[in-house]
Amino acid sequence: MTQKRTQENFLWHIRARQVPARALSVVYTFCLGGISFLAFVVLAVTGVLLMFHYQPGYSDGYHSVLNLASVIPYGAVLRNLHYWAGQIMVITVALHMVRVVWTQSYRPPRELNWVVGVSLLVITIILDFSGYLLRGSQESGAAATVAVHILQLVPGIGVGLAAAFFGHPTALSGSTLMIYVWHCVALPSVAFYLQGYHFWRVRKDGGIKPL
Amino acid sequence: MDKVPGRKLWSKEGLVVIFSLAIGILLSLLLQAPVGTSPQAPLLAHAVAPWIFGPVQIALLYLPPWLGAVLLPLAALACLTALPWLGKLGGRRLALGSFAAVGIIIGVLLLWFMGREYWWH
Repeated sequence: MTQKRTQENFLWHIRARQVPARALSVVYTFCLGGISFLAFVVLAVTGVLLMFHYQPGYSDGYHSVLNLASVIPYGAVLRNLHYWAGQIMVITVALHMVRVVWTQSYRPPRELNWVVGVSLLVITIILDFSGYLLRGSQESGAAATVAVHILQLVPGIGVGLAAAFFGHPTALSGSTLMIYVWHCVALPSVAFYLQGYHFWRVRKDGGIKPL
Repeated sequence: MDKVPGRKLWSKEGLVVIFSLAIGILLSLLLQAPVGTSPQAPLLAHAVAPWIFGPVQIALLYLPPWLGAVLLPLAALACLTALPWLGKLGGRRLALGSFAAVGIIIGVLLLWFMGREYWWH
């Protein structure tokens, strides 16, 4: 019973029966949050399809990317869509943040939702970066090596954090099983949960403030 | 405040979904996602960061790693996270000013990186 009420409450907030008339205007929010979520959904669908062919690893990573880009039917379009949705998501999340700041939508009682939003921006950037590493190219190896060294500079937890996130990338390929699991399972799961909470919280805190 | 049925908003959102998907598919048909250089190819003389980490790459050129790649990004993140409380403390001016300062620094470093590397992905 309590669970049903909670679900109804969640759906009620996500999909309200009535909304302010001004919410129908495109310039109200420029749909930036919605487009970011759409990009996330596209990334999830294309990502799952890419997982049927992608194999992480020193040379496997790069070869499976090449296979996807040139051998697998529709593989190139799927991979391109995954790539472009990722770039678009980083840009729309950043622009969404600018709109929120401009309308001062971070003010009480929205502080918690603002912090959730900042966390989502950070996760989006890490997802984009880990996707870049999974190409398994020399460039990704160099980026992974630099990132490992940077993370190791964090006092106390840096070395452990680097090992937990990156595994053991080489200077020639950033594709490792560890990064693959973070990119495909752990980070998207956290992002999905936080997005649900973020949307629910928007309505709970009184809806969207217009420009 | 005037209210309208929620389904009107859903129709608008549906149109945005169709329009955005069309743009995404068009991009995917016209522009190839880069694959980079094979690990088996001769070693690259110069590696470039992905564009989102361009500002960090520029900072690393001129600052010690602990400052350019750890302390400054963490300070920027802390500033963004603390925005609601900065607003409470100093009003819109302080909040907007802090956000603008972080945004301008990141923007300038990003443009610097792009101009220096001619690298867009």
